[in-house]
Amino acid sequence: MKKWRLKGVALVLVSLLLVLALSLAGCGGSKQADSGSKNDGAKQGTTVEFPTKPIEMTVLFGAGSGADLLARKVADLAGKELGQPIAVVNRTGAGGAVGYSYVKDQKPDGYNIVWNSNSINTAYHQGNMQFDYKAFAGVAELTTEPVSIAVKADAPWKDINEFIEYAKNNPGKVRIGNSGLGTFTHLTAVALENKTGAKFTHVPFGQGLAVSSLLGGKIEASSQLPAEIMSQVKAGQVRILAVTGEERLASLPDVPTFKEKGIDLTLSLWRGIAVPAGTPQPVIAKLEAAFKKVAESQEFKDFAAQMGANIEFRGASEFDAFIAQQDKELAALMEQIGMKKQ
Amino acid sequence: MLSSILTGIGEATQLSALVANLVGVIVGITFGSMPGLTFSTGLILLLPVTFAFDPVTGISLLVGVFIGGMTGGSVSAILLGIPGTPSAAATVIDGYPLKQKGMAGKALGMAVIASIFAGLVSLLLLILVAPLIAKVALQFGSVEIFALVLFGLSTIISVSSGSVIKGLIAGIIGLMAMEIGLDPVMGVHRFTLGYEPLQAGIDLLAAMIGLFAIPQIIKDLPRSQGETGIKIEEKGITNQLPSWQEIKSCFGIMVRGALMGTGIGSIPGTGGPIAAFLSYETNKRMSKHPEKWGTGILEGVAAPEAANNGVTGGALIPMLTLGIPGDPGTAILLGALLIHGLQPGPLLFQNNADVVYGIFAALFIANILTLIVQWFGIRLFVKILQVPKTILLPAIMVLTIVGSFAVRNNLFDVYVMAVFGVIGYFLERYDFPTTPVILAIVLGPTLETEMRRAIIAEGTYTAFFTHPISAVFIFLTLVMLFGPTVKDKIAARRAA
Amino acid sequence: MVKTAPLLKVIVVCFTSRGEKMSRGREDRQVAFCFLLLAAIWGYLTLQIPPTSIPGTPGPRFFPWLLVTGLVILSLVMLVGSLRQPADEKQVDADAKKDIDWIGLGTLAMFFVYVWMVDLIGLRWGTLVMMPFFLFVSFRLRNIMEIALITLVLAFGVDFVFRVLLKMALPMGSIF
Repeated sequence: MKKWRLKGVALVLVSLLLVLALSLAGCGGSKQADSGSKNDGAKQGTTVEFPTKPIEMTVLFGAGSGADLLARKVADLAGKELGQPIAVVNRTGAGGAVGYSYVKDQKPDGYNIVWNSNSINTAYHQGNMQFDYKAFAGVAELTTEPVSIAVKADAPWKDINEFIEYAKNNPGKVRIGNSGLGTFTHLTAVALENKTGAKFTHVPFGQGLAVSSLLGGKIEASSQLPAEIMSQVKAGQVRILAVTGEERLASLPDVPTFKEKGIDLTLSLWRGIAVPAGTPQPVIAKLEAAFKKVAESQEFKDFAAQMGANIEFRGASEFDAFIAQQDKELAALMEQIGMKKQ
Repeated sequence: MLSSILTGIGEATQLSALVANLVGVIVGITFGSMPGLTFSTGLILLLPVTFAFDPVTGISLLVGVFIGGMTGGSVSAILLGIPGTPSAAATVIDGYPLKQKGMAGKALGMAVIASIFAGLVSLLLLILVAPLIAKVALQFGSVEIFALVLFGLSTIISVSSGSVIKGLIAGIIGLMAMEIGLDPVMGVHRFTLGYEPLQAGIDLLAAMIGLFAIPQIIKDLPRSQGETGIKIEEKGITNQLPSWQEIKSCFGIMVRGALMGTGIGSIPGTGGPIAAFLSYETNKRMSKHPEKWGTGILEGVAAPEAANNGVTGGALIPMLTLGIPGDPGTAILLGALLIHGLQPGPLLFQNNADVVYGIFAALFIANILTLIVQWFGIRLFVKILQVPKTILLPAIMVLTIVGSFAVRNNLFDVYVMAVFGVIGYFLERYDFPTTPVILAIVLGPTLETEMRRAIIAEGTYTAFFTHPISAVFIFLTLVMLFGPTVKDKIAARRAA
Repeated sequence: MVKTAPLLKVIVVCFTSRGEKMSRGREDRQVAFCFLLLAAIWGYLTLQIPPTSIPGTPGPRFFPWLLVTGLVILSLVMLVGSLRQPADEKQVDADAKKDIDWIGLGTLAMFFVYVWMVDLIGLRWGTLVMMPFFLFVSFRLRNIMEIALITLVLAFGVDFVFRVLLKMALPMGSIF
């Protein structure tokens, strides 16, 4: 017994030493990296020393989702621009409210950024959080994604107008899957009803599940972000009848917009970077510059196209104004369908 | 065709891919076997690393974590009574009693063999008949998934050792817990008491960690002064491996488990835990000695372990043939493909056939590596039990916090874990089984959401009985619930 | 209630006839009462859920009501079952008094303090502060060297492996 104990103590001591030695080595490494980036800053002649340590980007949806993949690509590229890595951390739940609450409560020093989207509007108006978009300062808008209305490849409707006509004549017969009640895809389908007078049965699905139900013929149509349905479209199993964008999607040049088809419906899901309100202006400017470079890079352009997103860059001040305007529009839409709680 | 097969195999067997695969397997087994950590954590952790590699090497890494983690989950389930992943919760039922009998080595060996056997069977099915299985899987809409999940939930009856009523109450407690948060269909607040963090709901993994780990730690606390230096297991634990005879006797169970795992895994929105529990239940029913199940027999380890590894190949079927991830694990794999500019789905076979065969080869290699690493690791794992309680239990305590935090990077989940520790403690103290709670927590949200979604889509409550697949499962559920009683009654009448 | 009484009887017979052991009569009765209370609370909270719904489909209250009903029925069954076996009550009484698990309850309480500490000052320092208490009280260690070593290794080792080596996010403390 005694002997064992001595042995154990010795073992523990050795491992402790090892840990200490390694962590010291680790510190040394990161210090070197620090000084490296400082030099970069000096060269560029900027006044603030930012960033001097890794940045954390909160993503509101799960690993592997469309939002997450775009965010990871952005983080990867922007990290290289800034000279410090950007770590992506998924903080999911309550339609984004969990992640927003976390970032809002962090120090406004630019080291905690959030992959922002229309969720800031929908989560607030649905009553999931006590604060709205004003708790954050915009850094840069990067992409927009339209919503696509898709049907099975062998569906009888040739284009969106035939589809709407059928839905008008058979109210409630067309079941349209969205990614959850009160989500942007649901709002879009409702807006389509309002604009055309058609009547759908809205079926709320979780992420991605609407697609398998569409393929299995359990629902007639789906209202989804193009990223969720792109591979089925490319394989010819599913047809997108129209997208809600201002212009056609670069990756789907044959798919018309609603506007072209005479339906006045333009809605897009924007994504971008935001920081807690109160972050110093020079820090925002530095982040903005880095993300602008990302938006202009060919690598990101290619990736966004593959994910069914358009690049649409807006700088910090423009972005803030845009979010405010979007907030009003979505609030009005949600009010209309009785989803607005606050 | 042949050239792309060869290219794919070549890419998956190049040194960097092999090393990545091995690293993945080791990370997977480590994360899977540590109480509190799961392979999902490992996958998210390694996802950014894959950006730097070529697609097949990156996928090799993730596939290694996936297979290794699914297999490694059995280790802490058997040795400590704490499942390493929700899919291994059913393994505890017989695995832990086996350890208590001193047969930890045999149980671990059986788990590895069953896992890898099923992994390879499901891979074979994936390669040969994936489009066919995908077609069947697509027949499962909300109506059918609801019925399947209900059937899965009815296994509560047979996994609650002792009192059925207590098992059912425990199940209801689990279902109640999962109602907390935002309503999955309408988005209104339920049971949040106006407290904001509760909106996000109870996280399944945090609840599982608390429910199993905390009561286990307390049960193993040294109860007297002289006990401090003592190990978890004082009785002679052998690292004796299962004999060929024992493995052979479980062959039928492994085949059934593998097929069930592949089938259930291929239905998007279901997953490992339900496959494991249903396989346990079915094999128990078909066994010649069902009364021995739950007392610590190797069959009871083989059944769930075969099923949850069958899911690895099964979940890849909708991902590769349809571009739809079957579970959170494959969602991350799908993401990794997308990041590399590959579009998963039927086109992948046409445009990037070499990548597809690379993935198949990587899966095969991952299974073999997992078999080797874990089989030879058994001796090492069993040594965990020789670590004194005073070091092992505090370490598990810290790991529960690390693990429950890592799920969503949220401290609230750590508190949830602690609360579930208390629930688990009191349930156990009053002889309520904890397995039904975890079954309910895993299946509850799907059950409710799919039921309500089905009624919205079908517009009628009777859809569950008019759709053939669903009707079959509902019938099976009723048989499960009332079958034994009816059988007893008939037997009694005959005797009279 | 008129309708539920025979139903209850059926269920009691259904499930208690399967070789059920209900030896701890009194304890079961108390537990059953606790669950009835829980069902009442859950029922009250269910009434607080806004009754919005898509017409013709079960709303957010549907499932909670189902569970409350189930819990009430099962608790009543348990209650009835426990009343049927009053015979060995005295012995159970003695058993129940004997073992209040102070160490277990104390450890649970300390665990909550631990989690709270982790919340406040992070995993590393929280472990450093709380682990000695666990080791001394729950694990009955008395050797100061041993306590210090295990605490140090756990606090810094876990931090090193997960945060530094694996780059995982760990709780860093809300007051910093």
